[in-house]
Amino acid sequence: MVFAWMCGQLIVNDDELVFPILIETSTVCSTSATANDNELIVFTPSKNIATELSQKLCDDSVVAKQYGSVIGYWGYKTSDSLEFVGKGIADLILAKNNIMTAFKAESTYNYMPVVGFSDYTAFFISSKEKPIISKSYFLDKKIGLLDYPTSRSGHILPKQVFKDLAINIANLNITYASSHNELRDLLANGKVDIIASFWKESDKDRFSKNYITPLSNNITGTRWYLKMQQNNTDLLCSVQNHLMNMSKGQALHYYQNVTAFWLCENNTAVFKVGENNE
Amino acid sequence: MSRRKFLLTFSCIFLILSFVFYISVVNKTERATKQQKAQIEKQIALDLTLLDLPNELYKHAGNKEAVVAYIDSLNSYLKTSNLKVDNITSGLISENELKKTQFTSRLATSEGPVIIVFSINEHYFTPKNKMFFLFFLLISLFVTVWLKVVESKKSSVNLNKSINPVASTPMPLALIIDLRNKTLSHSYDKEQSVQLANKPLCFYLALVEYCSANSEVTLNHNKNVPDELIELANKYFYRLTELGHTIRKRPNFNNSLEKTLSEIRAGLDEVLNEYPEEKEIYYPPKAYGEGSRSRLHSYGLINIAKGNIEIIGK
Repeated sequence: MVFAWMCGQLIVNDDELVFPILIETSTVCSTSATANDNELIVFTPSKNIATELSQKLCDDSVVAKQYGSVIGYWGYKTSDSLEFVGKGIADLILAKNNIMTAFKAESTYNYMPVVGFSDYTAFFISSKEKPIISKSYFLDKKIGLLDYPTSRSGHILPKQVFKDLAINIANLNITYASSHNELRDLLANGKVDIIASFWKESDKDRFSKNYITPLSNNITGTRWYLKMQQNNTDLLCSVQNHLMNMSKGQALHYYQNVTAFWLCENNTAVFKVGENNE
Repeated sequence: MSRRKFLLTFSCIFLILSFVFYISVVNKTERATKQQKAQIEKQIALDLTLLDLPNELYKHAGNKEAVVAYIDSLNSYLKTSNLKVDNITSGLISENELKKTQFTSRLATSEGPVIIVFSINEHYFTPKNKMFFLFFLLISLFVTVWLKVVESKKSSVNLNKSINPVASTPMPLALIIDLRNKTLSHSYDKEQSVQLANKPLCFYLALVEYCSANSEVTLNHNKNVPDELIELANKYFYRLTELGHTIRKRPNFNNSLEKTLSEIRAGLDEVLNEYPEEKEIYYPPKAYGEGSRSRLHSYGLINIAKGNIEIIGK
């Protein structure tokens, strides 16, 4: 009996559960200059881009001359990007220019745009009719917006429209989603009548281009910024080169359409595009 | 050990072992589950700041995919545990939504409660445990067989003990004739006795004594009973008179000899019922085929010398 009891006690596994870090927010790689303690910090909201770019920079000979390792952070929450921009933590960061402006990061930390995605237009998108920008139209509609306040097309601009129409937002039936894709799912499933977002080519398959109404033109696209506290043009040109190459491999059309801000020739870098397209 | 007893012992041992094992497994599983639940809760609490859960105050929809991915990666480390995390939510969950195998745990945070939905796999008959039941089956079988061997050894020792004295001092059957109460019995079972009438008793005693002395003699029905035999019979009759069994005058032993012999045979038949092979010694031979009047037939006890007769009250 004692034996049977012991068997029962021994057979049940009661090992302590050991968890590794379950939510990772960064990746580290070393350059060929392992003795160098300097770290190049990269921040981007996407994990894939952070990983890919870090690896590319680690393999880069210019980076290896200046840094021992590259750390790629990706934001897990919206507030993360605010910390990185506001405190100038990252050397290379993918950010919206409205956030850069809000923190005056360009003048405070001397962030310079390196590569920019093309400007775009924000739309109200409906599945059954072309939305009309009027107070009475919105009042009995279910509206889908993005839940992060830094989004222009999905949050700031539509709310500005409501304010201009003198609609109290508390009277609107708003459903928040965490991503543009989730917003599209809400609309396609009939959970909301209208969403605010940008238009991309693949949307033709789910919605009609006739049923979209523009909110605002020329929203400046997201940009890569490099912290230029020194006139480190070698690094600037090398980074720009990697970013341009990487964008060609992106799946979305929007991310393939990039503009380089610098002309790198004969070991000099010249800023070629003005920032007058706000 | 009979077959039924064998099966009973076997199943008893098996059931007791299995029951104790089962209780032990349940007991240990319960403790392990409690401990692991606390460890999982700790991990979730640590990751909570990075977990994109919906937040009503911030009108934050949360990132369901990220939460699901987190739960999946958490569960991938729980393969050995019988606990699994089904959901992590900042919303309320009513008990009715839960399945039978699910239970919740509540983490209180400054931004409101976070509910963890666990599911528990209370499956005690895993292949590993089944192996143990099989093992217990073999043990029970082994122990029962062992008990059987021990028991049969013991009983054979006992049998030897009871047989040995007989074997060392062989005690052949002895016919006991008690004159005090006129009974026939034998040494193996003194209780089984048969009473004989005066005449056959005396005649049988006389016949035994006569034949012991004259083993070669032929006693024929056609001839008169030898005087010597009559004398012996009379002598025994006197003895019976002395013992107070009769006051009648002695009978004529020559008369109705066949009837007397029949009564003797009937008595012996009854006493030696279980030992027919002993009859050859003590039984006045019957006539077969040739007829009792035949010249060849003798009722003499030819083999009486091999016999063993004890006469009480001679």
